[in-house]
Amino acid sequence: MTSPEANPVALLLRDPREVARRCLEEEKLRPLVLSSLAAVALGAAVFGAVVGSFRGDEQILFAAVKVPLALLGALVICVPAFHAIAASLGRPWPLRTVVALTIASAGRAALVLFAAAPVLWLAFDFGLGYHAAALAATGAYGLAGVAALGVLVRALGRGKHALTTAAAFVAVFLAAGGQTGWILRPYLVRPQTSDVPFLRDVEGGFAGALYQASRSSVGIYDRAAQHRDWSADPYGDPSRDRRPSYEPSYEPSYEPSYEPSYDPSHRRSREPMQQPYGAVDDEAPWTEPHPSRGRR
Amino acid sequence: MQTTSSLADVWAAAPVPDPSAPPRAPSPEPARATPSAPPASADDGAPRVRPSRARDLLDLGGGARAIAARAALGTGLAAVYGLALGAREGGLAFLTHAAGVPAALVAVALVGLPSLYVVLSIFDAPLSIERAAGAAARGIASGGLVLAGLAPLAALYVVTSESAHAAALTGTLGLALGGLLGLRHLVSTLREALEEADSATRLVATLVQLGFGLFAVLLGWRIWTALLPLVGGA
Repeated sequence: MTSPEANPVALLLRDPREVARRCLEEEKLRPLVLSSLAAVALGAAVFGAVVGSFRGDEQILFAAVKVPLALLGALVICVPAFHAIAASLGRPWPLRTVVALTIASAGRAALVLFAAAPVLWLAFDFGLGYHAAALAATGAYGLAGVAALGVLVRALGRGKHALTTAAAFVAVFLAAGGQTGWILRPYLVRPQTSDVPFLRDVEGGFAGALYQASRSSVGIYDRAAQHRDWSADPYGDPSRDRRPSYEPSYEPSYEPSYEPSYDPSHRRSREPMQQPYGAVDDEAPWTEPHPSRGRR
Repeated sequence: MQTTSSLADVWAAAPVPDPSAPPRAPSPEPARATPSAPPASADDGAPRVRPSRARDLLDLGGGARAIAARAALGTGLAAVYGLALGAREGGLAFLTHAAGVPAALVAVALVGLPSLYVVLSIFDAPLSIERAAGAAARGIASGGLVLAGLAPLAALYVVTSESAHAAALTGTLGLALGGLLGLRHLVSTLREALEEADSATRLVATLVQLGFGLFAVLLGWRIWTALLPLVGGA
C-alpha cells in the first residue's frame, strides 16, 4: 500500500491533520496543492457528469464543466475572506497558507464527491425522482463539505475563537458557493426538458432563492403568483385560495398508466407530466424550471 | 519599536522566519510513517506559522508613523470593499462607495476615541494617548482587512443579484461584519491596556466601552446610510 506520506491524495483522505500542518508550515506544498487541484477537477467533473446524466445528452458535458468551475470560482472568492477573517480572529496566517489550506480542503471535498458519484448514478438509474435526486445530490455536497471542514478545523486548532472562525468559514463558503452555483445553473434538469442552455438568464439570486424556498416549504408560492395570468386560471388566485391542488404532487394520479413503476419526473420517454398550476417547488438553486411553466 | 521601514521589510520579504520561535525541528518525515503519527513541530506541538503581512498590520507596537501607516493601510483596504459595492452602478459610484466605506471607520476613531479617552482619564484609567491611538489604528486595520477580504464576495453578490434589495442586503452584511470585527479589535486592545487597573476602574471602563461600542455602531451605521447609495444613502 502506498503510504500517505508519499501519496498526496492518500494524505488528503487519511490524514487531514498532517495536511493542515503542511499548509501551516508551508512544507511540501507543491505536490499537495497540485494533487488537490487535480482532485477538484476530476472529482467535481465526475460528480457533475452524474448530476447531468439525470437528463442526459449535452447536459452531462455541461454539468461536468460547470460543477468544477463553480467550486473553483467559490474558492477564489473565499480565499481573501478566509485570510482576513482568520487574521482578525487571531490567526494571521500568510496568504500562501490560506490558499493551500483552501485548495487542500476543496480537494478532499472533491474526492468525496467522486466517491458519491457512482452511488448517485445508480440511484438515478433505479428511477430516483427529480426532487429526491436534488436532495441526494445536495446530501453528497454536504458530506463533501464536512470532509473539507475536517482540514480547516484541524488547521484552526483549539485556540481562541476557533469555533467562531470555523463558523465564519462555513458561512462565507456557503455564500460564495451558493452564488457561483446560482450563476452557473442549471445542473439538474428534468429529462423531458427539450432545450437546455449552458447558462440560464440571471433571475433573482441565491439569497432570494433561499427566501423563496423557505416560503414555498410552508405552502406560499410567490413566483407562481407573479408569473401566472390568474384571470385565465380556472383555479383562481392562490393568494386567496391555497387549496391542496397547488401543492406539488407526484402521486399516482398524475402518472401515465403505462409505466406505473417509475417516478413520472424521471424518464425521458414519457409525455410531459401533468402538473397543477403553481407547482413551483423545483426552484432549488441548481434546478431548471418545469417546461410546463413556459418561462424560457 | 516597529517602524514603517521594518513594516515594509516584512511586507517585502518572502519566507521570514520568526525570530522568537525556537529552531525548526529537522524534517519530520521519518517520524510520520503512519497517518496517525502526531505532527512534529514546535515544542508546544502547534505548527509554526511564519509571520504574515496580516500579523504586522494588526500589530500594536511602533511609533506614531507606524500607527499612522497601519491606519492608512486599513483605510485603503476598506476602500476596496467600497469599490466592490460601487460595481453595481459603476462610474461615479465606485468613488462614492470607496470614500464612504472607510469614512465610518475613520469617523469612529477620530470622533469617538478622544471622548472615550477623556472619560476613561476622568476615572483614572491607565490608558496613554499612544495606546489609545494604537488601538484605533488596529481597529481600522482589522475592519479594513476584513472588508477587503469580503470585497470579492460582495462584488459577486452586488453585480449578479437581480434585485437591488438583495444587493443592498449582502453589502450591508459585509459592512456589519467588517465594522463589528474592527470594533472588537479596538475594544479588546483597550481592555488589554486596562488590565493593570484596579477592579473598580475596570468595571467603569467596561461600562464606558459598552457605551462607546453602541456609539460606534450607531455612528458607523449613520455614516454608511448617509454616504453609500447602495444602502440607501446619498
